Amino acid sequence: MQDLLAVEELRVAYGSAEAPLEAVRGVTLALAAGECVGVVGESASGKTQLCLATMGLLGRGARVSGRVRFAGEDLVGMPLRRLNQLRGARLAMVFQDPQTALTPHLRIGTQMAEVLVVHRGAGWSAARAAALAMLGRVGIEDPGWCLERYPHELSGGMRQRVLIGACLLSEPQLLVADEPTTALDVTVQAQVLELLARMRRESGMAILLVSHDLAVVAGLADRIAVMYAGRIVELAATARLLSGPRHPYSAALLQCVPDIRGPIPVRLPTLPGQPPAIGERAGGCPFAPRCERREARCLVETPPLTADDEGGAHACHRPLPARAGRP
Amino acid sequence: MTAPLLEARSLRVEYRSGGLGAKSRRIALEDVSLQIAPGETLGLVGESGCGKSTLARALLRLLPVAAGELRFRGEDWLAPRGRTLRERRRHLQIVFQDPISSVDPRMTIAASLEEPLRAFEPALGARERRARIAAMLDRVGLAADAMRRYPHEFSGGQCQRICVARAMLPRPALLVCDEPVSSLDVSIQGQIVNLLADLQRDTGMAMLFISHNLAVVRQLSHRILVMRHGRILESATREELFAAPRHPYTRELLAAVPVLPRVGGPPSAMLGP
Repeated sequence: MQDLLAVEELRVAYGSAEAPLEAVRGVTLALAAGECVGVVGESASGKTQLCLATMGLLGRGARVSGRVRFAGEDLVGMPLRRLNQLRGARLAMVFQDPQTALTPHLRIGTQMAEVLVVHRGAGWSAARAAALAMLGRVGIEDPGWCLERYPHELSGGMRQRVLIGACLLSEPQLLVADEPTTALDVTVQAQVLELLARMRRESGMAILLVSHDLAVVAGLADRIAVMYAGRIVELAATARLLSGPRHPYSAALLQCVPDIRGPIPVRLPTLPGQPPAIGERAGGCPFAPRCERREARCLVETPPLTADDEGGAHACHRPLPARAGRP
Repeated sequence: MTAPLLEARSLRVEYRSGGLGAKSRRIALEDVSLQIAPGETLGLVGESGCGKSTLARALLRLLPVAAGELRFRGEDWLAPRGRTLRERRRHLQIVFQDPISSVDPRMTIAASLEEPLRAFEPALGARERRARIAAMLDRVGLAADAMRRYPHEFSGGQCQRICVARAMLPRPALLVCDEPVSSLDVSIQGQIVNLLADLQRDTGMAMLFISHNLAVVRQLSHRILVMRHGRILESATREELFAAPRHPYTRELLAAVPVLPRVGGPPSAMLGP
């Protein structure tokens, strides 16, 4: 089956050609139709740049190489006219901050209906009726009231629902969600994640779900890609990644997620050090300075992302043993 | 029971808005009572807008209190003004959520860290100040050359260490931490939480630890308060709160925390303590 989205050797760099600041350094990732892939990583790991590249939204300062194929068409270098036909119609994105993602001077009804007017050539009244129905589907209690509101009159959770609703109106094949619940309270986060899961079941769209929080991604994603310093360091089915991470960074990240159940540890597990700054990524494995399993070659030789026999892949010279082989 | 270090009774804080004549009042805190014992960590959880930060600021006398009582070491803590207030403040320090915006970008770290010492211990000479700062930087896990550097040269986690150092320099009896790890990466959060736990153990200070992150609050707190809409809904020991939450809202909060399915658990060899 052809992949819906195929990112191939994507590189995104800023700054001068002599001293480039590479935010994404060779990412290859595919999503099948209807699949949910989670991308997990810390600040500056390149996850947002990957999202923006997937939407063709990188700024003019970004130098992009590699390919981002959506349904067979390469979005890198695609003329804006064609890009605008795809975006909002077949590809949509939910941003972290629902406040800045909505237009402050337009009523909710207007900016939602606009999606159908622009992309589907719908009439305004039909589009507003569809927006009204969608607000009900995303769990807004009084859709008629909400339709007439301005963004500032809504709570953060309602705004994020509105945004997701606006994305779903055109029935996109791929939803890119960049930290969609990070700005929200836990109870609202739980509702929004539930909503995304339900919308995926109902519409069969694929989701690229990006978060710094493994627990958020784990509940929804079929597969998880772990990013570190601009690269994917591990890619595996969710259950496999959680039960038997192969890359030491994935394992460390898993341990660092604090739990509210079980015994309270004397100290929280931590990872010493910090990720390399964007300009300080020399050769070798970017995680090596923080890794307890490093050996001499880790500091000089960058490990490639290698497929393992469990259907996943990891980029490590000394991966943790596969779960099956462990006592 | 030991006498409380800080005690609030029926605290009320209001924000006023609107012009002359058309003033409207919004109640930010209503009937809030709490006690913090010396050496104790009190956790404070609740959703955004529930009044957590307002409470922190009211306890530190950083905003006006409309009604209620506030006592610090048994004395009326609402009465001091001017110089007395400023002098007392050394005992109550705060660490904010966003470490980067909490240090002056144009000042070296040494200059930033000198300020609390100049303010609260004017008798100290320049050499003694430097020695205190150097020792504190070492204590929070930063190299001595940090003194000469500027905030932009540090990551968020390092900047938070600087903010902790600044708050700890006057040797406070109470450290208020208002979402101190919320803007940090998961792998860095633990470092700061462990640092705060160590500092508390070593100095015997009390802490008010505010966070929407229940797991982090659970790690540090002896007792926990749950707030909503400016009121305290539940107060319990950490063990009680997580094992048997009484208020329906607390149960709702606990149930909403996404939980990682730990299938067998990841290998433990990787990480040190």
